[in-house]
Amino acid sequence: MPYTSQEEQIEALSQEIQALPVSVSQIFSQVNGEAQKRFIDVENYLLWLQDALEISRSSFRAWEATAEYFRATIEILNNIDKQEEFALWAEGGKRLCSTSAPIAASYFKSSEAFLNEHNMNDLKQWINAGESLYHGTWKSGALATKFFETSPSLLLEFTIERLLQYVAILDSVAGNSSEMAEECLLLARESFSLVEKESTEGYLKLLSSTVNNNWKYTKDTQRSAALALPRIARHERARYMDLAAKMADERGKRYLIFLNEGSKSFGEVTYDVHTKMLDMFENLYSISPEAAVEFVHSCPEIIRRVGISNIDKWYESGLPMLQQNEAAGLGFFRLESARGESLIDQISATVNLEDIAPILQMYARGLTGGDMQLRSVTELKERTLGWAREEKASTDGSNIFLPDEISSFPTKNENFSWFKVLCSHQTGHLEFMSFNFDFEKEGNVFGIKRVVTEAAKLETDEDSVALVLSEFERFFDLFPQRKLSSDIYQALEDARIDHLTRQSYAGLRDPYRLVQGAATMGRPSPQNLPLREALVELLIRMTLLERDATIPVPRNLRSVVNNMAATLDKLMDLNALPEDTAEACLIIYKLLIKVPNTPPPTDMDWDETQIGELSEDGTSEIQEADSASVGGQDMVPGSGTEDDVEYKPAEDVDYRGDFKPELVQTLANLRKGQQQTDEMTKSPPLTEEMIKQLLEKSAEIDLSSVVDGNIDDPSGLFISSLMSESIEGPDAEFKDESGPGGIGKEEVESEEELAEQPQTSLYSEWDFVALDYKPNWCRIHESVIAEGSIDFYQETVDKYAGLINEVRRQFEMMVPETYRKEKRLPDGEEFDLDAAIEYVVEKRAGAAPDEKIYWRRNKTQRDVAVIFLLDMSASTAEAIDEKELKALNDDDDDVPEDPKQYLYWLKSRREKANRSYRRIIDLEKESTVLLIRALETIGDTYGIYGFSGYGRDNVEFYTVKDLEEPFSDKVQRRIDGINPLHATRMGPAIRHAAEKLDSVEAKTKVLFLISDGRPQDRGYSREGAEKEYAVQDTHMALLETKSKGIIPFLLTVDRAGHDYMKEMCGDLPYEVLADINLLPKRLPQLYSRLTL
Amino acid sequence: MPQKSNSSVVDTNSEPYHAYEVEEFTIDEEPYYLPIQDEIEVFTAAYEQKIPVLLKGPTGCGKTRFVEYMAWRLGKPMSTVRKGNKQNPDVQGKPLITIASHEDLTASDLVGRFLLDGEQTRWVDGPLTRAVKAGAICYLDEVVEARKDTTVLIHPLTDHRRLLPVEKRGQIIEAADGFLLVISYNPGYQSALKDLKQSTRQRFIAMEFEYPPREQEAAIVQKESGVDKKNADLLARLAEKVRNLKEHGLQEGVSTRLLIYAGNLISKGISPRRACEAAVAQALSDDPSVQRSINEIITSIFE
Ligand SMILES: Nc1ncnc2c1ncn2[C@@H]1O[C@H](COP(=O)(O)OP(=O)(O)OP(=O)(O)O)[C@@H](O)[C@H]1O
Ligand SMILES: [Mg+2]
Repeated sequence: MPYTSQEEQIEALSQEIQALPVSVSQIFSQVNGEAQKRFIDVENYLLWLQDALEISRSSFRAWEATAEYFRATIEILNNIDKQEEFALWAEGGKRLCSTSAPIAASYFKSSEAFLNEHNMNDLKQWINAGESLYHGTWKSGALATKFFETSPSLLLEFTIERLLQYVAILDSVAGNSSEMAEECLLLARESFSLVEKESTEGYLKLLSSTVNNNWKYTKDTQRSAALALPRIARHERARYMDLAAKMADERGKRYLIFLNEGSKSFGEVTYDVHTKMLDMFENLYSISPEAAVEFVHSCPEIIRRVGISNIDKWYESGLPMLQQNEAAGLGFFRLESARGESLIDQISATVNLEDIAPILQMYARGLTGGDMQLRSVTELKERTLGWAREEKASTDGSNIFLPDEISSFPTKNENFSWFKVLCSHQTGHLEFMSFNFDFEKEGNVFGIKRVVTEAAKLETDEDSVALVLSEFERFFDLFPQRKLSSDIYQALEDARIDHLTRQSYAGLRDPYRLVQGAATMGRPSPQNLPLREALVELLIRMTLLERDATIPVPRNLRSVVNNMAATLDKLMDLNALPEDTAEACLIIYKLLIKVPNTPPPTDMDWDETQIGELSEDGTSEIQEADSASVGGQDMVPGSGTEDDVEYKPAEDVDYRGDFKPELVQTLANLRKGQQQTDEMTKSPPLTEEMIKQLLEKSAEIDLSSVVDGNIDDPSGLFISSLMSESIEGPDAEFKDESGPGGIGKEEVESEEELAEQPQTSLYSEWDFVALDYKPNWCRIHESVIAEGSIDFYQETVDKYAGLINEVRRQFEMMVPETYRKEKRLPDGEEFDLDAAIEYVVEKRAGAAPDEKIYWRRNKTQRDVAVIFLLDMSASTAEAIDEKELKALNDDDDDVPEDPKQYLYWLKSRREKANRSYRRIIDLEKESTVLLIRALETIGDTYGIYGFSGYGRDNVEFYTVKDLEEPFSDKVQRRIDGINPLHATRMGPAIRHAAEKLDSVEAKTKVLFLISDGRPQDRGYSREGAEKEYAVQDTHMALLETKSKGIIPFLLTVDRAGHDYMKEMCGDLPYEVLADINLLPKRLPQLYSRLTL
Repeated sequence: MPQKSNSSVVDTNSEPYHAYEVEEFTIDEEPYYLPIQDEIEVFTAAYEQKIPVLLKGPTGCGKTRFVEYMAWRLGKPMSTVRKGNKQNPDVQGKPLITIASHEDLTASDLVGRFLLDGEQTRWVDGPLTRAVKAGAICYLDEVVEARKDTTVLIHPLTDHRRLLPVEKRGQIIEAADGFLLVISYNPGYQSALKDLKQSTRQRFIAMEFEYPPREQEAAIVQKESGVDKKNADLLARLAEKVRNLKEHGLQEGVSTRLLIYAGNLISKGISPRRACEAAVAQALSDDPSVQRSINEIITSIFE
């Protein structure tokens, strides 16, 4: 109507609307006034009226839709950005109305809720989705209506894209049964609310698989899958849905069992086995789907019976059964097979190191008094310190290595006893000082012949005057046949340890008997060995068997065996020392070296003889008169031994494991030497010459494997770690990138304020020379730290189980203290009866009574918020124990010729392959885990952040856990993401953390900073006052923190910290930790004290 | 064994309104005490010079027993003191007043208070006042637990003045000649906030007590519990091992006191393993894995 004025048009349209049925016109009147005001543009208002009329005319049942249109108007206006969009909204309604008025009504009614969360683009898709459900039938109309009604709430659970997918599924279901589709839709909200975002995709895929294969199960699947998901470990949910979908594609109804019963089984076991279970399930499924389902069903029971760590073993025994014979396999996995049962019994008797390591570690610490670590032998290969070749127990003086499991005996108790004996033997070496051998010290039982033996050797052999790395090396240098001496020494020293252990620990005698008895089984028979080896074997047997047991003794060597037995007997003395073992070794060596190592003549006579009898006719005295002793002749084989075969080292005794005294002592000496370099007394560093010597001589290292460059070989690893011990500290080579002198001088800083940028915060910096702040000087970039593996968290928890318990208890005790009664108050809840009576009595006595006679329940509930701020500077990459080497070039193709270079190369290559030394940051991380455990028990609000950065424009601030964020898997993974980065600009990081604390409500607030050195960064200095500037700014930042009512606390693991901490912290509390290894323990302690 | 002599014991049941922990002994018979180092000489010298003494050390290591012994010994004319001397039955030991501190212990608890007596009031001396007047040894156990206002009393008593202010009565009491204040304190489980103030600390000479070395501890356990020598030796050995676990899962090592309990159980016919489980493993920790570790040590040491 272009010819009439807008007013006239409005008038006309309004009248038309007023003429509509009263249910419509009434609402119109209600909103019209407001609408007129709200439409800024008259055009739009006009359009509003026109659209209303158009809707009302679109079908004869459109009145309700029109009413809804009016009713929604104001809210829609509130929800849209531009008023032009209103027409778009109306447009959609008009279109719907032209197909079905009730659908349009439902659309108008729900769109406000929709637009609350979504924009106009989404609206189009939403309308299309609803429209797609309508196929002209009454039923499909009802479904579309329902869709508009329920979908806004569904959209709270997932995205619009997912909604479209779901609509497609519903539409296919509706193609078969509208009722089913409607039921699904009705249940959708409830189901989807159980499915979190990450799993929605898999969930929808499963639903569409179901629809494609058997739509009748759609509703069941929708519900069962939703209920199943929370039972599955989060990281496996997608796979679980995939598997179910795959099953749904293939076979009838089995996947529903998998969803229902199967997920319940998963729910019964801990999350950490889910991955394994699903792996196994998948594997079994490819062989027999039925068996796979049975497997899942049996898992909880199996885990209960054999333990998580043993489920593999059970599974691996069933698998081949299933492969050969499906019925047998089915029975196995259904737990209906006799063979399966006995297997389970056997497995459940197995003792795994994993399960008992914490107990035995503590046991070992008790027995030795040292800070022993109990480790698995398999870890040996992965460690820098190569050690034993085989899977044998051993110790390097601070670690005890034990096998992963023991299953040789039918009961758990016996297997455990075995473990205990293994462990006690290793602790015995430490308790009875196997490694404290001193060449020149006299033992308690034997004399000291080795000194004269050495003198005799030096007479003839001039060039053997060499530096030695250990007392043991000096001792073993006496023996031309080193392997023989090493075998004898090991047998005797092990015997001494066993004897002392059995004597001092009466309770171990029985298990020892069991283990020692079993140890002789499977050993080579002496009758089949060359003679000298046969005698060594007899010696070993004598050390294992009881006195009334018998061994075969070659008749013509009876006196040698007798003397050997007598010597051994003498050594079995409570006062015997390793020095005595050495003497005994010397005696027996001299006996054996004279025996030719020839294969035993077939006609040789062997007499089974009781061990107890042997020593009676023997002597431990060496025949001094023997002329051969002059010039060391008694140390080499006699003449007439041409048909000698080469001496082969004796087989180790299983439970005694590997014993390498020479290496342990060498290592210990090198470590000591290392420490001394810090002081005035510098011990000579390990020379190339010495290493070569050690390589060539020691019977404990297999030289060939090192020369072959086999870096996986433990001996090779050992050599390389020897090298690293001997190399001077890393200080000379390995420098913090941000080290003083490096950065800070080179570039001239621009002197400008920084500009604002989104997602960053600016902070001023204190310039102590100018005595003023540099405004907006530093920029903090805050981000959530990248996630690492979740394993780190769990491993740390396992590793520190004991300490965690202790800390937790310590923290638990902090809580109740806050509910104490406070007495002797001038005012309070009630009279303290005691005090009141006292008051009255004193008043009567005429004394000046104390008026503090009230008490009050101390309502000070614990209300603490704390931020832990971790230094993530490059220097935290520094190794704690082992000195790190400067990394060599990446292209180390050419192997160095020079042995020393070669060893460097070996080590660095290995390190690159597997960095296994512990770094400062690792301890920071571990401490964080411990703290979290503790903090979770007392419920303090806490945040964990890391900081580093490079230059003032780039101070990085990483969130590990935000203050208000609940603890979660994500946080666990983020802890592992903590890594050494760049520099340490403490000031801004402190200010930013303080800002965060300032924004939360808490009675006590603490900012806890953990660092490994002084603050430093590019440009964090001033000419002439490089270090001072950073220290002063940090000091100021701490003071600012304090003035916000926050207690700042600085903990440094930098032992040089005393130099600057006092200045940096002033009166504020701080601590310099003398030994970084104490960090995990000390941190919770300090925290509890600070906040008590 | 120490005897409570009725005359000097406060009957806590008849206290009309406030029960506080007070023990007061005169020790008539020589308490068994095995000297570990030179503690007897040092303490005697301090006593003669009227220097207050601070005893530090873990729980159950013999501090209380030591003070009891010293009270007995110092009560004798010096010439008659010889070990095991019982020829002088008339001579009584010094009175010893022991006060266990707790967080509600107030100055009045120590000094004394007015009591109602019919329509009248009557002043009753507190244990500290009695000790000051009688020239007794006053042993304040776990002193850091006491309320702050008690330090007000301790300060003038422990410097050259040796005065006890009795504020309520407007009096100042000069300590009698033989009076000596001995306090104890276990640095192990005190929080930073509860630490002794330097101004208090530096009024005492300090003597550090440790658990006795193995052989002596075995002798003590044998004597005190009546267990046989072999088991006493093993108990001392066990103690050594378990104490290695301090800070490795245990807050405190096992005390001599607990070892004596274990010995008591054994001499009553309980098997050594079981006795140690109850008196050591279970007594020390609630953590099953720690208990298990200790039990493994026990089963290694005892048959
Ligand atoms: N040197 C010793 N001579 C004799 N008995 C001792 C000795 N050391 C400890 N004991 C024994 O140990 C028991 C515990 O010692 P005591 O009660 O003196 O410990 P404490 O150090 O006072 O402990 P707490 O700090 O818990 O009060 C004593 O009853 C006594 O039997
Ligand atoms: Mg005591």
